[in-house]
Amino acid sequence: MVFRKYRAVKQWGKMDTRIFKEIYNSRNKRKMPAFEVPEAVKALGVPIFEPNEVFTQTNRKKNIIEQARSQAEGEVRFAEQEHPLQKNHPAYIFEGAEPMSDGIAQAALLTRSVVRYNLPDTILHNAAAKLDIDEEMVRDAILHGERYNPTLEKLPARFDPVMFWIRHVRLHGTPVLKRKVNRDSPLSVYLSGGQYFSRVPLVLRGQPHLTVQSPDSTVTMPWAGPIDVKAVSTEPLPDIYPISPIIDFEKDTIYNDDLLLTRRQQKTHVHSILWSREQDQKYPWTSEQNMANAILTTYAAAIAEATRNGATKLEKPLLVRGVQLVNGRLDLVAFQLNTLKPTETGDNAEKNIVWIEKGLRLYKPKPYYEQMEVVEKLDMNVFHKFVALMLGFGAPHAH
Amino acid sequence: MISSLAVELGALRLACSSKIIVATRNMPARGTKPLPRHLWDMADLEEKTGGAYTHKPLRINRLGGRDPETGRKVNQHIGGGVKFDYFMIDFHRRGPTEQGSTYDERVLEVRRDPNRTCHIALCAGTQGKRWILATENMKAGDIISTSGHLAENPVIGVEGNAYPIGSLAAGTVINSIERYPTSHSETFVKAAGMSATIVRHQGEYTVVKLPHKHEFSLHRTCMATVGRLSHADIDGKIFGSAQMHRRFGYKMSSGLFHKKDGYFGRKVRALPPVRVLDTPPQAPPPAQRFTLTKADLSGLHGHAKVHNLLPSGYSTRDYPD
Repeated sequence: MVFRKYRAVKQWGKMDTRIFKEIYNSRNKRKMPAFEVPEAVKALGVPIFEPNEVFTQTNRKKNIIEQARSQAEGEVRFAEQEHPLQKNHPAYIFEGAEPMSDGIAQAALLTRSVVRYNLPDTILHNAAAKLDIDEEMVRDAILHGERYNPTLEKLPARFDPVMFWIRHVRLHGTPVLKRKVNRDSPLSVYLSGGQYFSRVPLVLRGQPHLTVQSPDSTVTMPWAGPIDVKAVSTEPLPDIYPISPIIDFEKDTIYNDDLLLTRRQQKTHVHSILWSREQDQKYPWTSEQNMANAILTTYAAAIAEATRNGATKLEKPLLVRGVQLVNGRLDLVAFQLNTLKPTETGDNAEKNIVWIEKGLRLYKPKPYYEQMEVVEKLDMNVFHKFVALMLGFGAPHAH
Repeated sequence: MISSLAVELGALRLACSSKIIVATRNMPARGTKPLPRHLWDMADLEEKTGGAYTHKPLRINRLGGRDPETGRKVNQHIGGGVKFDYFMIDFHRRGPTEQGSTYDERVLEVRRDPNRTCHIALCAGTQGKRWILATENMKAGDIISTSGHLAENPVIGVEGNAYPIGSLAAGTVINSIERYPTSHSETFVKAAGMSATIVRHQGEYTVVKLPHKHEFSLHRTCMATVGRLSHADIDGKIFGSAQMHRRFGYKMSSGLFHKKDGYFGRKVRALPPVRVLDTPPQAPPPAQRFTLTKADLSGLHGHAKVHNLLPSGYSTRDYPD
């Protein structure tokens, strides 16, 4: 071995820096035991302040006041007003985004109505509604939405429940919900009072694709006469215990509690609302849940029709129709509004009537990523039911 | 000197006629504790929901076996895979403590959950909707109830209902057991087909035998759900292929085959004594971070204060020419 003279380390190298940093970091990481207030001091009962925050307000009585305030306000928490139009009460919001847990029964309970599971015979076999409509015309009408539409938008990502790992090509085409600015007018009604909405009101919102209105008031003539309405008032509302009917509503702050309905200043009457729903690829709604959505949205339209001129009382019953299209299946609703009163615990005498036809297959739809060339399995019986609903006008003198 | 003494003693022992051979054979060393499994980012989920509970499906952020803090790989053979929707599970079913009153819910749906082994059930009651772990015979339409009342006489639990463990009869099969009577504690028995048994009640505590036969003494107000967890036949199910296994985020291990030695395999050990869980683990105090000013560093306050430059090494000496 070569003889080497002793030489002091004169250079502070990068390894030394690393070692020093490690030592330094480990020293910094060493935890001091947290300070505990001694028992003797606690026994004295003197107020103990956070030493770093002696001069801030958090140590003062403000905390206690805050606690008392939040306690007093209880469950209904007033939102911090951030906007001059913001209402200081939260509201339950129905936007058709969440399925009703208990389906039709829940919707019936919320709308205080009795459900009739088929359209009445007088409406179905109405001679006036027997129009001579060619099947080809119906096919063509369906293809207008499905095929002739030139929309070229980015379609949602496709999810295959079996081959879930496949990343499908993103296609462009006509989305299931085809939005048109002049058609999809918003609809919003505000309800409060009753068993469920006395503390927190309910706002029913929708954006039906079509709102059919007529200057003729016969379109809102009720189907059931006073005798039927009286008979219905003895029927009980469905009991959906242990589910609370309001659990599916979102709770949010609102800025406008006015009625929102297209052409509400004009002297027209809502005949019907028609819209379609897109099913979620992963979590599709059941036909019951689709129907509940249709009932609530039609109820919103009926309330809007009843209160469009600032009216708070319903002078005579009225009827509004709702048509929902989900995956080629029609949900037909005829909602006869007999009372504007919301559901009460004890007094439930007057009731609304709702006639429904659930999940009628009008045609066989294609998935959104395929182009429909011809309409398959078109059911003209369903179409005639739809026509009967639309053209079935009540004759109150008949009863 | 001590060593020489020891040598002498050893010599003495050797010389002794009645020789005692002391042989203690210890159990092989226990393995290290299992590492935390970083499959998906729970902190990210909490951020997405704002800390609140939601029954709606959430999009998970897969961690791929990496520590979310440091980003370093912790778990081997974990990574990739399809992002599944995550369902938040409510493990803490709390109900009214008055006698006879219960919080009832209806099971709306029982479905499989890609993020855990046992099935999950969507329940709806007056307070809202929530997902819970489904027990073996739970099905849509069932009414399940939760009672927080500590019964004087042991209760024969109904499957799917939740009770405090102190009010259940010995021998009851339970799952989703809270470790401490707090609404944020960890829970025992969450895997498919698993169940624990109530062994006995001792004062304020109840002894529970877990699926691995260890016994824990938990406070009697800890809530548990009666019944065995669903999807017990998961062991009989197979992924089918390594590729399918990979789609779920688990990767094949690879490497040279090592023959297992004597340290592997089952050890016949005595069961540990009953472990009492009385005080919940305290969160460590938050780390404090502060910077001292130069005046603080000097330690000179009040009338002892001098110019700031002085403790920094400044001197009044004249500079040499």
